[in-house]
Amino acid sequence: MIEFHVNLLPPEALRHAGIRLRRRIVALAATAFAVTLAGLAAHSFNESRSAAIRVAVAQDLRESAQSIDDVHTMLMAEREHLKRLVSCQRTVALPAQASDVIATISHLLPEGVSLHAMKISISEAKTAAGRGLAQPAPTGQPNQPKPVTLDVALAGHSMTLAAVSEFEQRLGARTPFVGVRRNEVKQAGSGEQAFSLTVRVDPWAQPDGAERIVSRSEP
Amino acid sequence: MFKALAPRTDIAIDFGTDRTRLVQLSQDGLDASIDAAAEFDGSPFAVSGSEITIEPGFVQALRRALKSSGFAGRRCALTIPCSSLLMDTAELPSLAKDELLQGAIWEAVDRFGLDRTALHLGTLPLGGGSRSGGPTEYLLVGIRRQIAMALTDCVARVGLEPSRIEAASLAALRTAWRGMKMATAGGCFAVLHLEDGKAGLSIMSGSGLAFHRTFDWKPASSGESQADWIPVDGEDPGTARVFRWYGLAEETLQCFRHIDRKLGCAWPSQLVLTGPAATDPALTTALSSVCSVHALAVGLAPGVLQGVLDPMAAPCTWSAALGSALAGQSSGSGRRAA
Repeated sequence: MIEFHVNLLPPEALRHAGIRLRRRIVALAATAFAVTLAGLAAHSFNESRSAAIRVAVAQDLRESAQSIDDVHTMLMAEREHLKRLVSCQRTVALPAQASDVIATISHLLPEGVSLHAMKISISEAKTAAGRGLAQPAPTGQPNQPKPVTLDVALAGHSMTLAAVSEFEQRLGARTPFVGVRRNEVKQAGSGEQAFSLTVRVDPWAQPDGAERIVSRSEP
Repeated sequence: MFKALAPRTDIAIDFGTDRTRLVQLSQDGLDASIDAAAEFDGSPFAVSGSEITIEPGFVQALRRALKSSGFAGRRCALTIPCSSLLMDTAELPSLAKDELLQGAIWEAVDRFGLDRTALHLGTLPLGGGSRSGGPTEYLLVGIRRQIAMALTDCVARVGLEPSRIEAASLAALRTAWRGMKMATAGGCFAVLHLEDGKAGLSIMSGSGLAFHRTFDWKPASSGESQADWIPVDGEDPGTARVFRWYGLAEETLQCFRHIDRKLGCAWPSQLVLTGPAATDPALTTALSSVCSVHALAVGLAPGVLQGVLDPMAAPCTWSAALGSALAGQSSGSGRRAA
């Protein structure tokens, strides 16, 4: 079929157009590559930063965990030390000051009763209190050393026998006095009664309705 | 339904002398439809036909036209006006293809007065060639390389890749030939392509293109593009237009007589008018009466649907662009018309 084709496009123009087209393609490809590269770099930078942050956080966690373990160990050691100190304190510390005991007993003396002798001695706490109540050790541990108590021996004179009994009752009703026991009551001269009592100062015994000992250190 | 999937031809860009037209066809079976068309004022050849000036505004206008009118693809075919081409006929001996081209180049260098490095030449045999081994007449179509490179650069700047550059008159001849070859049934007909100031006359015989000549149809001293404004001494101003067309008709008549003497009993039965300046009814009247031939303006080729082309647009205005686009089509309509 006749189509009257006379192509006047020089080969170099075609090459020129092809080169220009290839340049555009290369430019587009280069742009796409640059954009991809920039995106990859940004992503890598973010990932690197995130990884560094994760590593730092993990390191902090490890160091914190070590510190926590150290603090825990230190606290446990201090606790054991304090336990030993408390135990030691309980074995050697007196349940009350002697002056407080004396002041309280003087305060409890009824009218017409006087004391002429008092002896305070240290002894171990007994499991059974004077009122017949079984008191457990304060720590609840069987191998704990028993705390010390004070045994107080009193001797005095009273105008009446009833006053001696009242004095005995007052002691029994007052904390930490337990185990009040009348040892002897006898006639002395001029109608007076000579008596002797023993009482134990045991702060671990907690009878109902007990009053607290008067302490100079606690107003 | 599947029209969007139909293959599209190359984008045909017709650089006229004052306007630029773009067309793209899609082939749907045996038919082709105009899928995209655009035109705008401006041309690289607006200042001078032999020089090319590509303004940045022209490139922007071309880019806008491509974007706004639904063109697809990157390949394009360019047509340029006859005034920007160097065309002549020459008899060349029967040679091998490469030797023939070299001989044609030497002949063109002598005739056009250009250095062979500044010229790109194409040839087209006239009269179906010689079967006896004697000399054959060839149509020599030359283009200055500077113009070809500038046009290539122009379309490359808007992202297109040119596949061919051809003369607007030959592209319009393709449109006319597709419409006429069935009607004439192997007879002789002529195609007159009219541009602003330049005309290209082609005479088709049964064996193909028998004659082609370009000539000026407007006096160089006129300075006006409207033929009916040209004053003629001793004539009434109202008849000046008809007289002006008679000058063109006389030139056409001389060509007809030449081909009639050369081929013998080959007077064209029809004269088909193409080109932007072929819309004047007075032109067909003048040509018909002077040349004793039925003159008519070209229509759309058979099998080419109007598509998006403005129904009021004259097909002869778009004939070069349509012919260029039809060259990229797979000749479905051509087979049907044959």
